[in-house]
Amino acid sequence: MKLFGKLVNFEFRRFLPIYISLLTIVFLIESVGVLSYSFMMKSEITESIVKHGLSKEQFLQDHGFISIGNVLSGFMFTLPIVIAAVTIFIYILFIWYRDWLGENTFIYRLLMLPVKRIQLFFSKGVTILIFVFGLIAFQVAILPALQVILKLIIPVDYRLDLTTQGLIRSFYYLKFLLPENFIDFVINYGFGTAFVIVLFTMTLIERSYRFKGIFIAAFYGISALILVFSPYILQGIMQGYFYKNELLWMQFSIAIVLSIISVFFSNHLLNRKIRV
Amino acid sequence: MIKLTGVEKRYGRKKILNGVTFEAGKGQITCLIGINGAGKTTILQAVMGLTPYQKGEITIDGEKLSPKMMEKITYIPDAMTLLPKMRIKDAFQFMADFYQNWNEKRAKEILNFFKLQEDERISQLSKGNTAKVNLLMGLAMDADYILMDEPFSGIDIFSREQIADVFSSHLVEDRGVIITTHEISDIEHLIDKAVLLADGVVKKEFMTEQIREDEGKSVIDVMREVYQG
Repeated sequence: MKLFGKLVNFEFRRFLPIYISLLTIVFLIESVGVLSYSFMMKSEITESIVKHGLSKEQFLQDHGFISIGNVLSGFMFTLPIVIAAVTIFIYILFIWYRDWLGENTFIYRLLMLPVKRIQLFFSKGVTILIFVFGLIAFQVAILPALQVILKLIIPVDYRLDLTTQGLIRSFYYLKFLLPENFIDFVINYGFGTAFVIVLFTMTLIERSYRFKGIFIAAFYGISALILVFSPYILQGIMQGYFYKNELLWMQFSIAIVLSIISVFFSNHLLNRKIRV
Repeated sequence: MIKLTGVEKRYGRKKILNGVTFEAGKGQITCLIGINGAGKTTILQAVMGLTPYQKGEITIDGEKLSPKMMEKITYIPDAMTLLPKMRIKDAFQFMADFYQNWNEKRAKEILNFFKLQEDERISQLSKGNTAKVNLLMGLAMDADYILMDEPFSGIDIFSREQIADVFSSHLVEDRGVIITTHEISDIEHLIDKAVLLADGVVKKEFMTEQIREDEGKSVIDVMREVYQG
């Protein structure tokens, strides 16, 4: 267990420089988004009151209260989420390959560590989970800070300040990433984890069987996808027999079984088939 | 003792190892000799579980390879296996973190012997120094067996001499060493046992001292007989 912790720590530190850059990019883009919105609204206020002589009430009637909630679904908040998601997805794809294809073949060292090789698999998976949760925590943490930028620019009478919970509710992607009930949380992250496990297994299939492995991995991935969506195929055949909730639980159960099979298969590949 | 019995390995239809059988004892330097493609590296990788084999058995002191065994046996490949951005001291820390048998004192001793600096980055090492660091990482572990793949490959004469000195030092004393090479002249006088390979088969296996005393032949003489008929 101690060695597993060290493995996770090692993996984490390898990606840390890119991760910190990613967090910085997220903060900068969102700050620019809030700043430009705040200044735009401030000039609107000035223009309405000074040029057109509107009262505060008339302005609010036309524009509504100015809130950070108005930009949370905009481009400047969608872009960093997309950048982060794409970066982490690429990282999931390359977390194994970099050990084979880097300047030095670090995979020798990893496979010769005095730990069960499946621990390498889990340590890489846990590292990804830490990055995802870290990113979400960072996003939640900076929202109040971003709101402060808006508070500094827009007068209080024109503003609607949100609580942290209100901020999360107004942010479409966070609503999905941080569901309000535990079951939704388990389902969302359960599917995410299953996806990563299947991708890891596909990578290990390719690394074990090389050229032939590309086709086996593709077959494995497509089969997994068909299996996960098979409840909907069944639903089509049975002409809407199942409730939506039942379909979701069927999918979730299949994803769990698929994850367990993938872990066992990966363990077999790492111990018996892998090559440097 | 490292024991290979009837080990077979194929890449597609091509047989790389075709029933390889030999033993390498503790306290001995066993040299796997053969031209490129004879299967030398594949044998070492198979012992370390770095490549699968289809038939046969490999045991280390009677046991099959397990994670625990990685403290008992160490492999020094001919390629650098540390991350380029690491400094030598980071590599020491990495080894100390994961291996109970990492011997920091010995690591520093070898570092001084090779005249390397702890702050040097792996990516900035010359080919010769890369080979030395590789060797250092393996030798600084208190392992019973050391496998070395072509330690003299592509390095200058002075580095070769330094590395060859290691074989006659206390650093390999009492350990079982398997070394692969196709340039036997550098270490001919140091090896205890030679295993001649060709096309994935052991052509001849002999104790070097015995063949010198009994038949008055050098390892190179035997190689000529085996490979040139």
